[in-house]
Amino acid sequence: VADAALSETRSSLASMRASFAIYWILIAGGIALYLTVGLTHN
Amino acid sequence: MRRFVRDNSLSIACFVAFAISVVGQALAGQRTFNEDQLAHGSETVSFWRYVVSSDFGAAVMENWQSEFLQFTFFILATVWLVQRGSNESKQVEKMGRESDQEQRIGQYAESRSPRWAKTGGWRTALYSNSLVIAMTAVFFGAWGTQSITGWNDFNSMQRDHDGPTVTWTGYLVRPDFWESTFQNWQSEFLAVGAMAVFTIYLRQRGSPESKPVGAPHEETATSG
Repeated sequence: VADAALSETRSSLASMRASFAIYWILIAGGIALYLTVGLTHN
Repeated sequence: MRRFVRDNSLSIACFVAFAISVVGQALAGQRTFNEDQLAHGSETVSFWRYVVSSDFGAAVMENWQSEFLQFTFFILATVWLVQRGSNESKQVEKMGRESDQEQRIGQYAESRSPRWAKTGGWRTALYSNSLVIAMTAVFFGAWGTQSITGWNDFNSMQRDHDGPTVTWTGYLVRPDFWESTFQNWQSEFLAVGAMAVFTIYLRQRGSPESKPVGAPHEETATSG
């Protein structure tokens, strides 16, 4: 039971990190894309 | 997988809604852009060419910057300012940055507190403001990018109309830039202000953005 609880905690932590990372990638990627678009006069 | 979806359902729903909206914006934007191109006797562009255009970039960035400004403003304002009776405010007695004990930092940190909340010194100081630092960075990043894509877009229109082009700094003092900036800011400030005030008297059962349905109107900072 303890192993299952530990596994669930690790899985929850991993999914929280994944959500955090995905949003950062989306935002930083969006700004970087349009900064490049702007600086290359597209 | 089912647990992943349940545990992250709010961020997943926001992401899906964002994706649908941004695709809708691109489709409608391309159509408008091409109608304008045809009216000027210019060539139309493909969907993907439009997605990587300054016209679309400026439209996306001006909304992004204002959203992040809204949150930066609200996060900072609610440290020192309160709205009695609002779920979006803390209690009047808690105005300010609060004590180390209340914030559970340094010697008051718990075993599972984030590492930089425990260490003290510059790391704890930095981590104590990390949310506002991140939001501010995104705000200025998006606003700066809006100014550059908007500048390109403006010059492109000027060329279409045989008008004079401007430098980037010249664009920063043009009313076009400030109109697109302020039109987004005004709506954000109105919406957060309304949210702060509406939650005094109105309720949404089950939402942490509302007080519990039976909470008295004068009760401040309780989530339902």
